[in-house]
Amino acid sequence: MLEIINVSKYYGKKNVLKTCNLVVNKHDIVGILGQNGCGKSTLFKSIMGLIDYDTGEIKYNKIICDFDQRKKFGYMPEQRSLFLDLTVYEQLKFLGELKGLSIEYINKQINELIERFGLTDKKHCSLNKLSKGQQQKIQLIAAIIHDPEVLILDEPLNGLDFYSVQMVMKELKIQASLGKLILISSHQMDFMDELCTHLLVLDQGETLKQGKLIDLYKDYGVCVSVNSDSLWQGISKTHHNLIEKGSFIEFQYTSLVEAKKSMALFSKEISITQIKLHNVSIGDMLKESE
Amino acid sequence: MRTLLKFAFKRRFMNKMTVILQGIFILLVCLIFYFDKISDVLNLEFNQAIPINIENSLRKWIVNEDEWKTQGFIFTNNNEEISITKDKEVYLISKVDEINVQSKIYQLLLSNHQLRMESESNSSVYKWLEKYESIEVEFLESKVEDNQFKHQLIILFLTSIYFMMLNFIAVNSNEIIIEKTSHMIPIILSSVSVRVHFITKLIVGFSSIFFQIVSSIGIVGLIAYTRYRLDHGAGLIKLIIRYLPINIESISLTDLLKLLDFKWTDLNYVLLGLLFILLGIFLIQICILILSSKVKTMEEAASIQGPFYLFLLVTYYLALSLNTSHSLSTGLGYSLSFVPMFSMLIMPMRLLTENVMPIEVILSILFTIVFISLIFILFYPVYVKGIKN
Repeated sequence: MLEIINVSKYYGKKNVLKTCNLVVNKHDIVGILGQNGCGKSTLFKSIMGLIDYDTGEIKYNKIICDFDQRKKFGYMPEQRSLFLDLTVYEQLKFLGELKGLSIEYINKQINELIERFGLTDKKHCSLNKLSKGQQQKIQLIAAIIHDPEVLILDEPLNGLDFYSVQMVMKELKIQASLGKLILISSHQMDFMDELCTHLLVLDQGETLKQGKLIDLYKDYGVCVSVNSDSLWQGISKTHHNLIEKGSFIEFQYTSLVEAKKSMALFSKEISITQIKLHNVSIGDMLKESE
Repeated sequence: MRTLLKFAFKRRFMNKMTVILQGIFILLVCLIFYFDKISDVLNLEFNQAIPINIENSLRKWIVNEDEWKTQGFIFTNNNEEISITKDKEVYLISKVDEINVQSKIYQLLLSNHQLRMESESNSSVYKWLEKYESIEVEFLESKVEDNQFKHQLIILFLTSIYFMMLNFIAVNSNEIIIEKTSHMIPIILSSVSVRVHFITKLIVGFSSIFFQIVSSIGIVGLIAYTRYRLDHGAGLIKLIIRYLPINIESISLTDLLKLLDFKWTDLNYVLLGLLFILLGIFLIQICILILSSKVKTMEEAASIQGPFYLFLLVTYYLALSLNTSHSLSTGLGYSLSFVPMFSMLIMPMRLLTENVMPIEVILSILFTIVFISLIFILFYPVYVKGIKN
C-alpha cells in the first residue's frame, strides 16, 4: 500500500502541491489528472524522491519511503529520457544493470518485453532511429524491466498511436492484475476512462476530486448516447443537458430511472437508430469541475 | 556504482572520437620523435648543415671543427654563404641575421678561442689558473644539484601533465549536463542514490585523467624507445641542439640520459609533483561538479569552465614567474606552496629547485585534503539540491 499523507511542496513562495492525500492499494490504477502545471509531475517526483517535499510523508507498506523502498518502484518521466546514441538493447541493459539485475534476467526481460510491445526487430536499432512512439514504449519497458511493485508513469501515452495506446493499456492492466500499484497521468481522457480504477484530480496543487472511479460516477449519474436519422435540433431546446459528440447526442441524467423516462418520451419524437447507456466520461467530469 | 562506472568509462573511451584523437596524438608524438627523418625524406632544410665560408688563415686556426658540425655548420668556399673573416682581433661575420645562429657562431668562436688559449698556455700557469678559479666542494647532506637541464625537463614534464589535465577538468560537468539535458538524471536517480552518483562522477573524472596520463606516457615512451632502437636518436638530438636554446654536449638519447643522471630521488620528486597536481585537479573537479549540478542549459554549461581555465592559467604563469630560488624559499612562492590549488604547481617547483622539509610537504598535502573535505561538507547539499531540481 502506498500512502501519501498531507504532502505539500513549495517552489519559492508558490505552493505547487497543497496537502495532498492519497492511498493506493494493490491492483489499483490511479489516474492523476488536471491541467498543465496542476502538480501531477511534482507529486510523482516527490514519490520518487527526486524532489524534497516540504511537509507530510510518503509511506510504502507502512514504512516511510527511502531509497531502498523506492528500488521497488518503476518510474517513467514525462520527458524523453534516453541516451539516443545507444541501441535499444544497450539502453535497457544499462538501466537493468543499474537496478542491480543479473545479465541473464535482463536478457530474459528484454526479449520478453520487446516482444510484447512489438519491438523485437528493433532490439539492436539505435534509439535515434526509432519513432517517438517506439521510444516511448522503450521508456515504459525501462520502467518495468525490474518487475517493480509500484509503477509511476508520467504521461506514458504521449506520442502513441491508437494501436500502441491499446497495447500499453493492455500491458498496464496485466501489471495491475499481477498486484502492482499504478499511478498514471495522461491528457488522453478517453483512454483513462478505460484504464483507471481510481482518480485524483488536481487543480493548481489542490485536490479537486478523489476516489474510486465507480463511486465518482455515481455523483454524475448516467449518460445516454443516441444516434438518429431525424433532425434533433428542435429537441435541444427542451433538453438542456444535451452534448453533441460526433454523430451521437449525449444526454446526462442523475439516475437511471430519469434516463429511462426521458428516452421513452424522446423516442416518440424522433426515430433512434443507436442507443448507448454509459457513465459520464472522465473528460466531462473534469469539465464540470472547472 | 559499478554499472554507472562501467557505462561512463565505456561511453568515454570506447567511441570513434577517442580512437581518432588517440591516433592524432600518436601521429604527433611520432612526428616529434622522427622529425629529423621526416625532414630528410621530405627534403626539408631543417636537417641541412648551414654552410660557412671561412677564410683559409682562419680555417687553420679552428680546432673544434667537430663541434661546429654537431651544431649544424659546414665549412665551404662558396662566397654566397655566411662568411667569417678576421680584422686584427675582431671577427667579421656577414650574411647572418638570425639571432639564434648568431649566438651559436659566437659560442663556437669563443669555445675555439678558449681551446686555443688553453693549448697555448704554459701548463703550470694554466693549472694554477684552473685551481685559482674553482674549488671542488661536495655537500654530503644537501640535495641541491647543479643540473638545470634536468630540472627544466622535469618541470616541462609536470607542466605538460598539468595542461593535459586541463582538457579533462570539464569532463564531469559535461557528463552531468548531458544527463540533465537528456533527462536521464531522474531515471538514474531512481536506481542509484545521489551520493553514489556524486562519487561515481568523481571517480570517473579522476580516473580519466589518470588513464590519459598513463596512456600518454606509454605512447611517448614506446615511440621514444623505437627511436632509441633505430639509431639512438642521433639525428633528433642534433636537431634539438641546433634549434632549441639548450646547451648539451650529447649526440644521442643514451648520452642525453647519461647527462641527465636520473636517480631514484628524482622519481620521488616527479611522483610527489604528480600527487600535488592530481590533488589540485581533484579539488577543481569537485568545485566544477557542484557548480554543474546547478546548470540547466547548454548555454550555462559553456561558461562554467571559463573561470577555472583562467585560474589554472594564472597559476601556471604565477608558478613560472615565481620560479626563482628567492621567491620559492621565502617569498610569495613559499606561502602559495601551502595554499590549496596554488600548491599543485608551486610545491612541485619548490621540490625541484630547493630543499623542502618533509613536514612542509606533509602540511601542504594536509591543507589541500582539509580544504577538499570542507568543500565537500559545505557544498555537497548544494549538489544534492541542484541535481534533484
